[in-house]
Amino acid sequence: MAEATALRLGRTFVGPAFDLLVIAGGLSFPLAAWLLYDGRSAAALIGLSIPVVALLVNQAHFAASTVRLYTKPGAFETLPFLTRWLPLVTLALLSVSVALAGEVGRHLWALSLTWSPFHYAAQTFGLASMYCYRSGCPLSSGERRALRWACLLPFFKAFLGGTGAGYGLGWLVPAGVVAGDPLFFALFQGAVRFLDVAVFAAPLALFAWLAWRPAGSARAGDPAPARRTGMPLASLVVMLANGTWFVLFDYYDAFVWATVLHGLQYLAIVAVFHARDHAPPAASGGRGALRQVAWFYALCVALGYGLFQCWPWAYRLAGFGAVESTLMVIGVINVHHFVVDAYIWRLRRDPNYRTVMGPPAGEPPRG
Amino acid sequence: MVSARLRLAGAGAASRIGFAVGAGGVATSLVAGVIFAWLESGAAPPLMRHPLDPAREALVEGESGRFVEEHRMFAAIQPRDAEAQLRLAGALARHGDRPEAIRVLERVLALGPVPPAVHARLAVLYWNSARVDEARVQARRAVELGAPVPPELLVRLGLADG
Repeated sequence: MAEATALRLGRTFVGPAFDLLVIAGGLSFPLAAWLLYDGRSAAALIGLSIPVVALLVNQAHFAASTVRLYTKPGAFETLPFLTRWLPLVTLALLSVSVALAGEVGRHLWALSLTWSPFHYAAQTFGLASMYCYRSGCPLSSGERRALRWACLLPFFKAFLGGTGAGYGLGWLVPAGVVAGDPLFFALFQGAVRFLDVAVFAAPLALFAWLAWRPAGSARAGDPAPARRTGMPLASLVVMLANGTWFVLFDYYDAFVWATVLHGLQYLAIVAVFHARDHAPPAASGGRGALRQVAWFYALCVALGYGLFQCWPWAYRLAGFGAVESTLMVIGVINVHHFVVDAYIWRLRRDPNYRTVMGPPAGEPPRG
Repeated sequence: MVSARLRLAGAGAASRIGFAVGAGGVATSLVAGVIFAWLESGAAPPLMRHPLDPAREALVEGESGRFVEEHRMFAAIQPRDAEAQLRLAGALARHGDRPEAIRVLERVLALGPVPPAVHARLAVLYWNSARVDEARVQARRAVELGAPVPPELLVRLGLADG
């Protein structure tokens, strides 16, 4: 079952329910509704159960980009800096940041928290585009640009929303400066209010435009109008899910929950790509792919545990405190993940393209 | 042609060494971390709930100096985060360094809009330092913003009926 039902979900990677809830992030809506009803902050819930969730989802997802990098066919040849030099650069950056936590490390920490929402936005754009292309909705360059801007809006909201805590805009300009100038503050508040609406309005408008765009809207060189269909629901859900956290929750809660849901989404899609690259073709049915996914996930959890839980102890052994050891490890793994991720998902002239355009799991390739 | 090949071979060797040093360094530090955690606690590194957990454990073990130092570092890494500064002020007050705790929170007030809890904490610290007028100002502000202030403090400051 690949093609859409009533609202045209789009061509799935695994299956309609899994794609909609996990890969597209549809789980965000019931979870956000429950959290708003429950009223407890992420911090209050963290103390109850999150350490295990953090290991199995968040930390595993950060490790997943590294596992993917080193298991991606041909990565050593096509990405020499990332595969060979980045570990050394990361180790050096981490060591300097731990040793000079108050001077250098604090900027690494602020960078990681500021970059995170951008990374989520970029992933949203990537997934929304993939679903469009998979589902026979090729985008003109203008539509692609509009999609990118719509996906970036939650990042802009987070960039302003983190001001009070010293992240995003607050990393560059102290909150006191923003609040101290009446005009600047009015502009700031206006921008926040605008983004609260635009985060949801822009994806809906784009969805509507792509559903009813005139057949002749394609420019020369764009795909033939006859083959153009509307944006799949999965692309819309990806965008709305990412916006949900940054509009409905305060900065910290948005950060925590977006990370959990993003991690789940990331693990699912990276496992699909890994299985397509490594599972033997159809001969062993779905079992070969499942075995690949299980191995991949086990590696991610083990590496996540090693990096997040064991690495800080090495710096404690060297005489540094638990706080700088832990926060700097978290910060540097985040930045490493963002850098690696910016390259391993490229589609042009990459085998990734085959997976994006290929059939859902369990379906034989066409042609 | 030959020199180009030599350059390529050299670059290949350098990148292999870079990879060996980087990946080897990371792997070695992970193993060292596991061994150190085992020696310290007799078990593999536990799943951490919060970076300040070891500080709280230090306090339980009577190492209040380490408790404060870890909070100082937490605040230094997040100098514009009022929550981190509030935690530092709490640790300092607990350690008996009330003047420093007040200075930390006064710096937070200068950062811009702050969480209401900062006003409530400052009201208590001012009161305990016999700075009644300043305590009243901060308690009033905390109440306006909806932060919980100890009821007996509000009564003593004349902001509530006893």
